[in-house]
Amino acid sequence: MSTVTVIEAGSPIQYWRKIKECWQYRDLLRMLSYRDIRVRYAQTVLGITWAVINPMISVLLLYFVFGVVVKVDTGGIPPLLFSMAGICSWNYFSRVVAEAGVSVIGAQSLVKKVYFPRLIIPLSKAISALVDLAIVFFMLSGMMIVYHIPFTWQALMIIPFTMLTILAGMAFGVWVSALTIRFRDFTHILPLVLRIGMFLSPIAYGASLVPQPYKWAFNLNPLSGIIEGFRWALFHTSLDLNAVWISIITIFIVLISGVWYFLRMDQYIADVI
Amino acid sequence: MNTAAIVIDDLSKIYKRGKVKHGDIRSSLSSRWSAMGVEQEEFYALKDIHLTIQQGDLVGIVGPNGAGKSTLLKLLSRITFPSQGRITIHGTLSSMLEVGTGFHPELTGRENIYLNGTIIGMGRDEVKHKLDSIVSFSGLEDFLDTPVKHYSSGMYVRLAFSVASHLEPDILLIDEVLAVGDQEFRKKCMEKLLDVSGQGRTIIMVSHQMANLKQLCTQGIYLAGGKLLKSGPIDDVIQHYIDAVDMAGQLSIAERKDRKGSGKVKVNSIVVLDAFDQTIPVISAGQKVVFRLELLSSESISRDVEIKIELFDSYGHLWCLCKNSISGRPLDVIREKTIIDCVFPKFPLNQGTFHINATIFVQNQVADEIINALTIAVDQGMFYETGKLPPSNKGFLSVYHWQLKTE
Repeated sequence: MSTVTVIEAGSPIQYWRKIKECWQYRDLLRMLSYRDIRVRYAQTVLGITWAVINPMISVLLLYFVFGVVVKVDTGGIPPLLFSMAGICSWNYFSRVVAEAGVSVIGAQSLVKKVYFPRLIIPLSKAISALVDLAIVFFMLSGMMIVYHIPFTWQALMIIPFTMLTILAGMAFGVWVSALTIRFRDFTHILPLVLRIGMFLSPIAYGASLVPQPYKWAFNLNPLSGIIEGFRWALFHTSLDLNAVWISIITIFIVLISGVWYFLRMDQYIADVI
Repeated sequence: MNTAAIVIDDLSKIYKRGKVKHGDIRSSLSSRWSAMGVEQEEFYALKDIHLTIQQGDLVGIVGPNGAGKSTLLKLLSRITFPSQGRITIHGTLSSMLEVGTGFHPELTGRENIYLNGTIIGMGRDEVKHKLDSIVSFSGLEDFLDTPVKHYSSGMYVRLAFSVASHLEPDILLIDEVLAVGDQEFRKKCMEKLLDVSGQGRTIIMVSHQMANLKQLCTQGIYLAGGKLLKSGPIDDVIQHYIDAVDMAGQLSIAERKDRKGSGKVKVNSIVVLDAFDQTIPVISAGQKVVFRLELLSSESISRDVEIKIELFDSYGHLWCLCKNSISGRPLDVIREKTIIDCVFPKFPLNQGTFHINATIFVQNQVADEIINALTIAVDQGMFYETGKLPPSNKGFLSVYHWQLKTE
């Protein structure tokens, strides 16, 4: 018998051990994500088509308001493409955060009946939402061909920016799920914050339109740097490197503190929910 | 083989009663304000447990409702965390606190095997490796790619059990789940799980089915009110438990003086038995229950004897009236002794405590009436195949089924 597990009241939380345990349970992470993907569009008439329709409607709406009515300066990029490149990472991010927020509460029946690292639950949402992100990418590249936007090597830079988006989703998702366990109020707060966040992110307008005095606050939103990064990679718009660095730093601070807070809550989860 | 599998030192689990501790921001803020003044009411779900379980032991945990049995299993399986004390576990541990944890109705049988398997702690490769064995064990080869929502509850349980039976932990915790499903299949599962116990697998199970525990276990633990009252060989522990429950009851019925009636026929004793004629301290909802009455007659033969037992809850509501002249015919009681069983093939009352009044009529005259002759405790059980029950205050349990008439 090689493994010895000691459970002791009041013992310090072994953060590193718990994180390693998540890795050991990576198959579960995979299966939970797979289940979410399978179940999400099951029993709907249009099935996976919804993953196309939903972002399409948002893009058309943004196009109508910002491209047709307000006529925001997009620096020569077709407004439809402009908003589409903006919305892909935001849609992913808000879906992950919204789903992760209620994920642990939603998994009550699991959490009360079997042991596994609870952190897996919000993390799995970041994986399952990748399908929708991939579909939007697909649509985006289709549109780029239609609009004769050339693909350059720089387009490959969307890979690191996508990774950042995933990390951002995980970071905020973990925080929100831990907070929602502790305070159910977050089920009401979260949609509100996400709606505000959508307008404060440079989705249908460029970050260059934000007045200088507000710029620093604007850049604290980690999605600002990411969204601008996407456009830079695809359309060669100018990129404020500072914004990207701020995004990266914010994301890592939120991720580390979120995991720390979640693991601190970990042992009470089954008693509280 | 004398190595310890589990060592429990001074283990306690405290729950806060009454006001929810976590929930909304307001209460969290206000509790900070009032933390100085108000004492929160705490109760011990488990208190000062010291226990060592040896490797290879088959341990049965017994005790009444709220004894802390499930809390102990949850602490051992790390679902919840102790308030005091320490648990040392040597080897890998898995728990079956529920059948089919995480099963999703929209997924197929095959997908659910993978999902459930990884949830209860197998790796994907391990499930893949055992898939054929799991499937043939369940006998559901033809339904492997059918969504589980189309399964009958029996099939569902078979599939879940088959996955769980393929777990290979050093220590396995089982909570009452072995009462689900058809008897035959259940036996097959237990055999599979016990198969390796000779090689050192430790199994700890909670059950109200004393007969089952006696058959399967070697060691026993008796918990009540969060305390460990006895541990040792299973037969001793069960005996101890039954005695304790009997002691908690009132005077034996024969000694009761507060009875009414002519006394032509008297109730000498009432015992509660299960399907195997074993005395049971606690009834599980849905199990076969026998109330065995011993009657004595003051005449050589008393004819036209009617027996009535009534089951009341603690609020005095009558739940059930059983009378031999309603469901059948009156009987004759002879002087020596007459034993008659009132048999419930499937006990229809939900969790709770019930009092039994017994009344005997001889030729329409009350011969004997004992109020509160017996108090019985009913605990959750497998009334329905799913093992689920409505909340305990929501009426009695009825045999019924749902039938879909549209496609």
